Amino acid sequence: MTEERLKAYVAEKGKNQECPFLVPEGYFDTLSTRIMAQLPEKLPCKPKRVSLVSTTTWRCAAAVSIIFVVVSAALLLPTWLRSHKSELSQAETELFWEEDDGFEEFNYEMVDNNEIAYYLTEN
Amino acid sequence: MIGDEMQLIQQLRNEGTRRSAFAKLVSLHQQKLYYMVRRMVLVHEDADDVLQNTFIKAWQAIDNFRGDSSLATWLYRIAAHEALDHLERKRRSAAISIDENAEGGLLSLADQLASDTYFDGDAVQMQLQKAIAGLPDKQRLVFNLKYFDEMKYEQMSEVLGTSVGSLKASYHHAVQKISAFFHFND
Repeated sequence: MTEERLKAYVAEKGKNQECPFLVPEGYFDTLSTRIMAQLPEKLPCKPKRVSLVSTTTWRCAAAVSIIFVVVSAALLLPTWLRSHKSELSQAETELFWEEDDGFEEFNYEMVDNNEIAYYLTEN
Repeated sequence: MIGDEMQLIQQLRNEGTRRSAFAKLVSLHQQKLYYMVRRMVLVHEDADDVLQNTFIKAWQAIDNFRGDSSLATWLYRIAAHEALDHLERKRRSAAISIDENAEGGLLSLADQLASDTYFDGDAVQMQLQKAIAGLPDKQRLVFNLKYFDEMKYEQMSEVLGTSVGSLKASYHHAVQKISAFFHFND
């Protein structure tokens, strides 16, 4: 059966009603007022996305970190340099004593082979 | 009509004119929406609850209305989902499973229509309502929208979020079932 035939069937068999559902008297007259009375004055605010850590906190943490690094470098670097300087000085001293063993430092560019041989045989 | 709707949408978007515009929206669509809901839930008190919830939700979602569809389609969509949710909640609270829907639930309400003060149907209307009550909820919605509201399939597709082809098939099957119900009970 098609829709048209169904409608015709219903219309034929019973009184052709638009809608058998009734409402209380004045229902639609007061419906709008009742609905508007339930609505809040303003629309609910859209929930803001809140991060666990605020932007200000992140900035403060970054600033503190930078200050910490700078202060640490300022305090520790001289100490490190001093400790390494002594090591350097000692190395230089050892090198000095190694070099100061009584031999003259030859300037090989200034001497020829005969002179080198003479020095070697003399010592 | 389109100009009036555009003007109403502008007023709804404006905080200063929103309430008056919404009151106008309610007045314009309350009857059609009420009967759409009433045909689904059958009982006046339930229809009243669902309709009020529909408009409250529409108010809360007014900022989300993008204008892709008409205001009527948008309201129908909210009302349809509210009606379906209401039926689902009622079914759960009555501890009636979906499979038993044909045997209880809305069918029992349809049986009570005869004693309902707010039902003025004759025996044929009663039979028709019983036949419709035997359909699955969404199919019943499709049938009601097409048969009683004479809604076009394209608009129905926007309301229900279902393709036109599926809606046509669903309606065709609904008509067949209701016709069979009448033949069986004739």
